[in-house]
Amino acid sequence: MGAVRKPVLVRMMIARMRRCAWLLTLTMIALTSCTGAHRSPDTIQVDIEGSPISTDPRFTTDILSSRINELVFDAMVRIDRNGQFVARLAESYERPTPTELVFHLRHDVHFSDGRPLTARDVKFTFDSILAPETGTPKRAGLSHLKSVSTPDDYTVVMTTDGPYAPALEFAMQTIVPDGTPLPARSSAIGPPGAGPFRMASFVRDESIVLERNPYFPAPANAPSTILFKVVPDPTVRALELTEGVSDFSENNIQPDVLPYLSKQPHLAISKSPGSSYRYLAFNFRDPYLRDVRVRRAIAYSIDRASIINSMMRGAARAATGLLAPENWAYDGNLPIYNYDPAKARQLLDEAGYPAGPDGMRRLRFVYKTTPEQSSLAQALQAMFKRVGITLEIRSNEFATFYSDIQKGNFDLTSLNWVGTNDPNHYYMIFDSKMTPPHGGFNRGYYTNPEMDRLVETGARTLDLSEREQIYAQVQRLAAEDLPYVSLWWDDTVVVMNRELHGFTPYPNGSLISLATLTLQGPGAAEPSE
Amino acid sequence: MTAPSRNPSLLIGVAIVIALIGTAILGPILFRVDPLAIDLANTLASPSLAHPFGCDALGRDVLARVLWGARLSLSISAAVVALSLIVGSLIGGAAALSGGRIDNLVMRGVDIVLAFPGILLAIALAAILGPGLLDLVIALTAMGWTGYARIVRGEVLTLREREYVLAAEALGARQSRILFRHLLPGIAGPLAVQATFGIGGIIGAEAALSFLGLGAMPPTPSWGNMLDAGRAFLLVAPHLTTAPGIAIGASILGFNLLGDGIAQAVGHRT
Repeated sequence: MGAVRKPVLVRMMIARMRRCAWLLTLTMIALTSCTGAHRSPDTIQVDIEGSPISTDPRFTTDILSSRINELVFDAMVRIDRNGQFVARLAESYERPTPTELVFHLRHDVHFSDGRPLTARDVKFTFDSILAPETGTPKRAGLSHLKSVSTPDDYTVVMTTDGPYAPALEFAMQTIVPDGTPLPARSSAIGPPGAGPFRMASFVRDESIVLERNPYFPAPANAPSTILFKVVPDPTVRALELTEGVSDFSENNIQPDVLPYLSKQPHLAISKSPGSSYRYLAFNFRDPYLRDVRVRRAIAYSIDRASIINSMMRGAARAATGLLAPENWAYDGNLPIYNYDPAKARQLLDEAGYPAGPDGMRRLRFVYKTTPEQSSLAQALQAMFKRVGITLEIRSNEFATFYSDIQKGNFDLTSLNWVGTNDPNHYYMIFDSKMTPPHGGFNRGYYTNPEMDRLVETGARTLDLSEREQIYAQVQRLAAEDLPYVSLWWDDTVVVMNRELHGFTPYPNGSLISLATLTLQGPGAAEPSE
Repeated sequence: MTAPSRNPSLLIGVAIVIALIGTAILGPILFRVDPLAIDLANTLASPSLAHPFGCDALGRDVLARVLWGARLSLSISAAVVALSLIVGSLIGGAAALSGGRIDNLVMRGVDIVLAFPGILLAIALAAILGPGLLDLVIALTAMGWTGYARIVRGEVLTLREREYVLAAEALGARQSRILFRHLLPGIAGPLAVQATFGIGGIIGAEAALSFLGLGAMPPTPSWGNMLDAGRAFLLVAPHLTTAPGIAIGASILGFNLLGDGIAQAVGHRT
């Protein structure tokens, strides 16, 4: 047992030591802040919570890596802020047969080292991800991609192993140059890309510097350099914005601090609807949670409106399901579980778990969380107690927490899905075959033959209106059967120096429009809300 | 013995410690607010009549949490000091009375434990044992017992050579009579001083471990985890950290003054 626990403990200790170190930093900033810090006029500083896991887009699956890699690399197609595909490296694409996608590449694209981008680079990128020896977690996502061929230098043909509706999402993979070796060290600067920036330096846990890609047109007055600085402590991030040390922050400032920041004359805050979906997940291997009445009782016992209004200061929308209203497949006509403790108690009584003399029932669940999310955990604990359910909170730093969740080592937990676009994501999270050892995210071992049938049909159906109907049924079934309790969609919250203009927030939190940001003196046009 | 009027440390120390113990015992009885009751309508509320110290991020009353935290802090410190005192005295006394190689071996063991910075040892132990109150007491005792062992051993070695002890021995007194009648009263003073300082130190150490998430688990209120939770709201709700911060500072100050005062009163150098 000792041998197994040790690394976790060491990690835990290191994480805790780091927290002390941040506090020290905080004090130091407070002491030095009066001297002020001035950036060079064409550099903007963006504070981020941690380091990206990889700088090679063949490996990036975490949010931070994707956000930064989007600025360095480009893909054949991308999603705009309305969830529509837009052509990027491809000037056009078509689907001549149900299993084929043909992309016609632009002729004028260069990597930041001057090499022209051709179909060979595209094929290389996909082949490299598909090669088992590369060992990237992204390979599982391309399991339906049979082959990538290049009839000429500017044409790419993707073939899937059958009709596969979300196939166009494959083309959102960002491209590296032909022959790029696999990254030797996790802190290496990534390969050159065809995006608006190139990575000039990368110091893990400290900073990343992006400079303009000379082959990518930049708007006039645009900052030439973006410094991403790793600042793990939310209070320090807020202080750096206040002091003008950092210029930009997205979705990493605590809602409670926003009123304070909004009083700073040089800062502008914008809130816009987001698609990041927070949910409560059940583990179906627990016999009590397998009873839908217990799951519904739990849903009724959560006072979402209060949590959103108070703890989140309104920076979220109560969610009906995984898909946000902006998604083309969204169906909002679903059962909603508004806070109703009386109904929760009644359901639990019916399920055969009567309340004892102290009001508590024979229901005790282990709730796994991280320190950052522990106030949500404590709020849920108090709300569950009102209906007689005991919640035992276990809080661990993210690595330990996440490995527990992947192993199914929890009764209840809360996580969020960021950047869901194609509703096929339902297949990844609710299909009974998609449990973590098999490449999916059905971490609660949810099994429902009707759900399996729907999500598997949805993946193979190409007709958009047919798909829409299928996913309307999926959304209804998910809301009735409750493999997740839908909590909310987080808003995209941007805090930005007023000298910066032209940032367009994305519902999925993409930072791509940092590339088109311009610097203007104070008093210019107000940023859009 | 010096007159209390010439020993202000003792007076102030006694006053603070009595106030602290009184608060811990009577506070939660007189101020009957549930420290665990969340009230999302009152998140981060500023101090008011209903909530004299304001409310935390979940709308829980900060005063109630500080009062319950006092109970936790004092009872853990008392438990740790009592346990350290017993363990340390037994080991130190045994070493002194056995003498020779056993004494040498035991005291080198004490030196090894002392070579670790105390709080680091406690953090390592708490991390291995896992968070929880009992584990916290064990971790802090492991850090604290060595001081008592050294004092008891040293005092026993000197006192044994004193004339009155030698006289008792010459008169044929039994070992136990010498120990309880002649040695213990001599050791009591230095031990009392050490224990009083110890309580102050343990209050700080307990807060540090809870701050790091290795002590009392949420939602149990402890001064340390209140500081940790309030840290994120320093800019908008400084009362979340000020209240437990003052509580920790005042208690450590109180016990240190009391320790000083006792040392002065019994004529012991610290």
